[in-house]
Amino acid sequence: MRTKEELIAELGRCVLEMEDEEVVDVAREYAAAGHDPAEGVLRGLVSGMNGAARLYEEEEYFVPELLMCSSAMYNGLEVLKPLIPKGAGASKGKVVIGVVEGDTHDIGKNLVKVMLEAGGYETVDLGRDVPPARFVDAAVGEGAQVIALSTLMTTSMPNMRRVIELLEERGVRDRFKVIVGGGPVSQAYADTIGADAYSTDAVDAVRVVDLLLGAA
Amino acid sequence: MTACGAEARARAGRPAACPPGCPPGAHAGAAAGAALPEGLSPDGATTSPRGMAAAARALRGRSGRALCALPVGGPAVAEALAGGGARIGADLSARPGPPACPSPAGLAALPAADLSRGRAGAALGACRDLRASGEHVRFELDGALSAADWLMGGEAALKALAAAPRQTGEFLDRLRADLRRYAGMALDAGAEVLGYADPACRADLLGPRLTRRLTEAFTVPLLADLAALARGRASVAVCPWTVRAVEGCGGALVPVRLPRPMAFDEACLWAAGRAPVVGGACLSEPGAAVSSIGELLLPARGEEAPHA
Repeated sequence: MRTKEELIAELGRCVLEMEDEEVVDVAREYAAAGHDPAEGVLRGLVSGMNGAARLYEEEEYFVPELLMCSSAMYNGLEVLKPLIPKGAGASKGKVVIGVVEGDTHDIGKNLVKVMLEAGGYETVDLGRDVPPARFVDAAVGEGAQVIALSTLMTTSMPNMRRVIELLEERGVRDRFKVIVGGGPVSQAYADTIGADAYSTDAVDAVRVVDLLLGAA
Repeated sequence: MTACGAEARARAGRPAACPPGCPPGAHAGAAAGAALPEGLSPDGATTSPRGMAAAARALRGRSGRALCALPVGGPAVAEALAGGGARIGADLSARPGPPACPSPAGLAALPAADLSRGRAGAALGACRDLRASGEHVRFELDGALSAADWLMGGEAALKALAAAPRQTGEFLDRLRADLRRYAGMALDAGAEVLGYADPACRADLLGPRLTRRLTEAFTVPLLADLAALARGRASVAVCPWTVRAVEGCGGALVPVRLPRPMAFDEACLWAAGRAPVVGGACLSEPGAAVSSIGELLLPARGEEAPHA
């Protein structure tokens, strides 16, 4: 029988090495042994995903590897997360995230979501092709601190501005930090539309949100 | 769709090291439905021969370009491969509904594509109409990752190409055969330039190993097929990322001096019948002024490696 530390290390390795089936077996073994599920998530799965992020920054891993690592992490989470008592483990904050209306490309958004969750944030994923008002409604309704907007299309970029305009019209702009990203988006564009921050990639997004919320 | 403009362009965002000729601002969003003539909807501009021809003619006229671009070839092939089960959105950038092929096994089992019907046939009709009215046509095709994206969805496509080389290899062989057949039909319909771009050539997205594998297994053989079809009567214009990927596998871009400085799309037209595969500028920047054009010499191929 493997020890708790061995299993935690295995959870991390499975994520890092994209073992999306083996991770389920390891997570079940970990859970069956009665170990703390939150610890398995944080020190095992999340640690593995953070390792993948490091390899991405070192240009050892690329987008396909990150996607496969995230699949493994989510497969492990499916086993362990239901076992975590509600309210256990403090979240660093809540982020409403989505692809703005007019665009259906969501790989980048999904990667940002994975990395934010691995970084300790709770996310509310609105999906893709999301109307501006839905971002505002969700952020207010969920009590989020951050709204993360993604697009790949130059044609849908104005809807990022529209979200910020809606926040201002409703008088809630100062309640949320707005972060933007995606292929055609730049720091200059973020400045132009009055966003609080721009992120160059999914790994960078965690750093940026940490800074915005003073959680670094 | 340009290589910058496919689903995989939703990269996590590391700073792109764009190859020469690839403008940093060239991204998705140059939708076929953009800047349409009055009364023509995005859907109409990408489905009927008349609508496609009208949109291409209007865009050419407005920009003063030499070529009418028909951007629907790539998604049309994907739709035909799925037997109508992969309806691509009017902006040609993504599949709005559920995937036609949720798994790599589904890709390998796709039935034969009827390229004379549906949007594929309509694009050929538009090409004939344009040529008959004296226009010059660039008929655009996409490759492995775009097709897999349209059929499976972006994430599934990237995972499949990275992790299921045998099953996706069978799909790539099928796709290559269909693209070769469709390119021949486009040339017969009057296209003088075939445009080719695909994010499978982007090492900054896929990493150098996967890019090289796809370039060797798919891009180079396909370009060799297209070059054989185009030789003496047309040119195949490829995007800078494609040039870089092919150079990485032993190809070379050799400058060919033009008789005078001209726009890139005019240079591609000039190269028709002179150089089978050309590059040097982004396909989404056809008005870029160039004084030479690059002929892309493909690496010599021995026996094709099995997909393993």
